Amino acid sequence: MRRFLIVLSIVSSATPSFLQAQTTATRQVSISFPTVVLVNIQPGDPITLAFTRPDDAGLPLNSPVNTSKWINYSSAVGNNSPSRTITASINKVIPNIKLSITAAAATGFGGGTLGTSTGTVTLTTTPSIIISGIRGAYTGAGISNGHNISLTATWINYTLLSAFNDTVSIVYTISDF
Amino acid sequence: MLKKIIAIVSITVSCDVNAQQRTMTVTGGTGTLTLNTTNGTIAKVVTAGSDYINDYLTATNYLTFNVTVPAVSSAWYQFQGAEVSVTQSTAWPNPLTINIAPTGSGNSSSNNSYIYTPNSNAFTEISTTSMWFMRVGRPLYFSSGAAFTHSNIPVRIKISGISVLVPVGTYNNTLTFTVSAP
Repeated sequence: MRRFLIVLSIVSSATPSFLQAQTTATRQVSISFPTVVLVNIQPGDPITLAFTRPDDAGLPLNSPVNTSKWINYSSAVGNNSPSRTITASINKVIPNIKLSITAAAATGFGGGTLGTSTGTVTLTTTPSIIISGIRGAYTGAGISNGHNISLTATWINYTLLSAFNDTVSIVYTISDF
Repeated sequence: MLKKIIAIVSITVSCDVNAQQRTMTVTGGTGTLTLNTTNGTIAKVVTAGSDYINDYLTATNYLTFNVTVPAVSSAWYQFQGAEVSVTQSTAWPNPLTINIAPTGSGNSSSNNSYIYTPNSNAFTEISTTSMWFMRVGRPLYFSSGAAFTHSNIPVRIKISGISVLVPVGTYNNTLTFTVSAP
């Protein structure tokens, strides 16, 4: 008789604490992010760099400068992936002409870890880094977003000065460092 | 003599349990909510300079909750109710968040019960710390304190911060819902 009562006492104290456990339910969520790497130049129309006469005799030609272009990019990288860079190169070198490029600091609608300009770079047929340190970032699309580009042409050797027209293409590439 | 004692103990236990247990049923969303660019739940970034569209919203009734509140002893100044809390198993990288909100009032079955949220039906951001996002209840001056069920409460989930800023990879999470006394 006494043993039976003890057993009952244990059950009555343990059962409520078990049943008072909160009722729960679970649901699963999963999201995946792929690599993203896109670059574009806006606006996309060709530009003309035209040397102009100096105002006074004895002065050099006025070097043309164009600042109408903007570099836009989107980049998604893994935690352990290297940062990205943007390089620029030209398809050919025009004799006696130096083409220089400078990427300004990013402005506009972007976010994330945007790249940093490497300063003024002389364009050659070998790609040169003009922006580095890009990680997960987007600049915003269109003009006034991203890095403004300054392109300058300079006459190198005046002993070879002559009138001419020529066309070059500039290739911009975003890639892992 | 022995039989009488057994009966008394049994009655005492069952009364105590019914007085405290809240229960709920959750329907919908039984499969994994999977977001990616392959199944089209996330639109690909196709324009340089752009980001993903920031938010993903499930249907307004992605989940449906029925919450049952047990009887309480009648006292006009008491509040009879339950709260539903939620927590996520893993913190996600900034700015990626999971959010939740009821999108309707459900069916009180003439119980005079109602639901309310911590932020006027706006989304509640889920974290690894449990927090309530919905309460069901009624003041006892409307009733005798009998048990009631507030049913068909529609709930939606929002994934925010879908961005190229999030490191490339797959992120999984388990949402755990818990019903308890408010």
